[in-house]
Amino acid sequence: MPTFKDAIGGALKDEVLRRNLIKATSHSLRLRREVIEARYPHWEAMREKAGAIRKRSLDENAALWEQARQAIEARGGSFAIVPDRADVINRVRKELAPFKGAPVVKSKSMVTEELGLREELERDGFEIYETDLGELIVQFEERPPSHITAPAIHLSREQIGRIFEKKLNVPYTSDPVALTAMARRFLREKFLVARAGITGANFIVAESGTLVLLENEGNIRLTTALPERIVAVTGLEKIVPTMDDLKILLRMLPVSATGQFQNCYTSFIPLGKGHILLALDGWRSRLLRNAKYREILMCIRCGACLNICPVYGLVGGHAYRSVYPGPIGVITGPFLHESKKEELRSKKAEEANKDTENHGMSSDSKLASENLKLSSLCGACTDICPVGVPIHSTILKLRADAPKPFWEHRAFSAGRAMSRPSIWRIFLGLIRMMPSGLLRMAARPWARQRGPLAPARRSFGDLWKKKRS
Amino acid sequence: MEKETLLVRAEKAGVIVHWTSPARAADDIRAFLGGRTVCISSELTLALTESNTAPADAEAGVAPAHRWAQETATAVVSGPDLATLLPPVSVLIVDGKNIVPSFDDLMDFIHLRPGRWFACVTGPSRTADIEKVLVIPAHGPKELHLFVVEQ
Repeated sequence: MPTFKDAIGGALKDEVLRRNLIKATSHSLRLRREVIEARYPHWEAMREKAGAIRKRSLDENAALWEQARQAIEARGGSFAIVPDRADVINRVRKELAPFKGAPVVKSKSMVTEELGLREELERDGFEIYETDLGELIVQFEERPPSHITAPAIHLSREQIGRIFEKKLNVPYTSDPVALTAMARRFLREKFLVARAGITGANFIVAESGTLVLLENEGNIRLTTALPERIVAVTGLEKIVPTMDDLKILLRMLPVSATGQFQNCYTSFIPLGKGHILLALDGWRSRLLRNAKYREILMCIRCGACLNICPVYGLVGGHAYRSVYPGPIGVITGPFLHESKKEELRSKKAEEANKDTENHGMSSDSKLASENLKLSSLCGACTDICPVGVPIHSTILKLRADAPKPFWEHRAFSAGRAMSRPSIWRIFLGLIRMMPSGLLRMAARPWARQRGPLAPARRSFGDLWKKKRS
Repeated sequence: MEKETLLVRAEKAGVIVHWTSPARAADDIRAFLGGRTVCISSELTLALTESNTAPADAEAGVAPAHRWAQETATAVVSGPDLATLLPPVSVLIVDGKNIVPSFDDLMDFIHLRPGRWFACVTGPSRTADIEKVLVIPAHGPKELHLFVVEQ
């Protein structure tokens, strides 16, 4: 794992990455604006309504899941709220065991990325294929997705062409039409013989136990229609009370994500026989009980805050070194990593002398607080969020709550002290006495990008006093 | 129903609309299909052809649209119906009576039929995962034709 500095520094030097990012994010934003202007004059009122629905989904979370459970079990399906990562992986492993000989097709799911589910199953000898084009590309690239809804946004068509050339043994091409056709042919073969499918969930409707999935490619419909067994993995926050509530969310999600008035396919699957729904708990229920920060769970994973974020646009998703990049990732991180920490702590109790894990634990929470810096606090994320997650003010709250590194703590104390004019004048006097080379050293790396540093011989305050006397 | 609105919205979503009447529907669709191998959805009541190709091998798939929303050019089809999914040409047939104004009406339709697996379909399958360039098709049909049957 690169350090914060290396990750950001490396991304900032990558001109190709930046070109790819700007092209893609500005495209989605432009389409989004056009659709909202043409079709949704009351967008702000819609946001409020959608936000209220999401709040209710969190307020009544346990009761809503109970409702969904009854509907699913009445139709012969199975459902479980699963406490942690290891437990989900074990359950999926067990469910898929009878189908191990055939390929397993998988559609896009951020929760499975959180779990590292595909990698874990691959280690067990399962043959798993991501079927969303962007996800397949990053599976081939052997890197995590760099965007919530556009996983391969960091890559150019040329880079993707090279990846396909290597992984699919096809002649190099950079034509998106040809590349898409190659993926279609490759995956069609897998679809037709797959016996099990893994999906995520955009929403679960509590009143009917319906799994709702949005897409454009048709890969999700194939993943759910062809195999005999479907395992859907989701998070506790994805429940929605009624089908009526979905009306507005199914309008706001596609336009926020890709700028489409409607996405191509939306599946409504009444979970039943042959279906297993696993809802991940872990850090989620702790966050649900946390009145100060629970709004983070209102997120519907559209990715609009990534597209509009000036920081994301400069560094891209991988620089965040976390499953969820961008503004929503910055505020999710501290809770996500908190849970990893606890899991590792219990592991640690089992295997007393493994300091590698100990190391992983401290670096994860460090990473999350480092990432809190990845914001200009411009608030564009909050403005664009379709359900009204107060993203930028949450970043501020988290910064205030985060443990301060030693020197930052000192700097703030010094700053408070210098708000007193007498102390400030003493400080200025000291600065003026310093040789400029030393001053430059002390002010690195800020000074590196600026000209020679030389304090004025007399301060403004002195000059002012003299002029008035 | 305003034909004009339906056409404009459908065109925007990449759907090709054909108008026909109950008496002519079978002939018109047969004429459109021409020599293509066809997969017929098990839900289709209209008698079209004797031969029925497996969905993975067919050149065209014919299926009913239970509802059509003018606003978004969205059809409601049976979710696991492979005739709407695997063949490169998808033909949907909708009764004029089942055309509804808004997308919300589709949600009501689905809500009133609990336990049934539906999919909303808006245009042919697509992707923009490579540099946001729109490519049709991705995994589903390349062409989507809607036959509107009304007197």
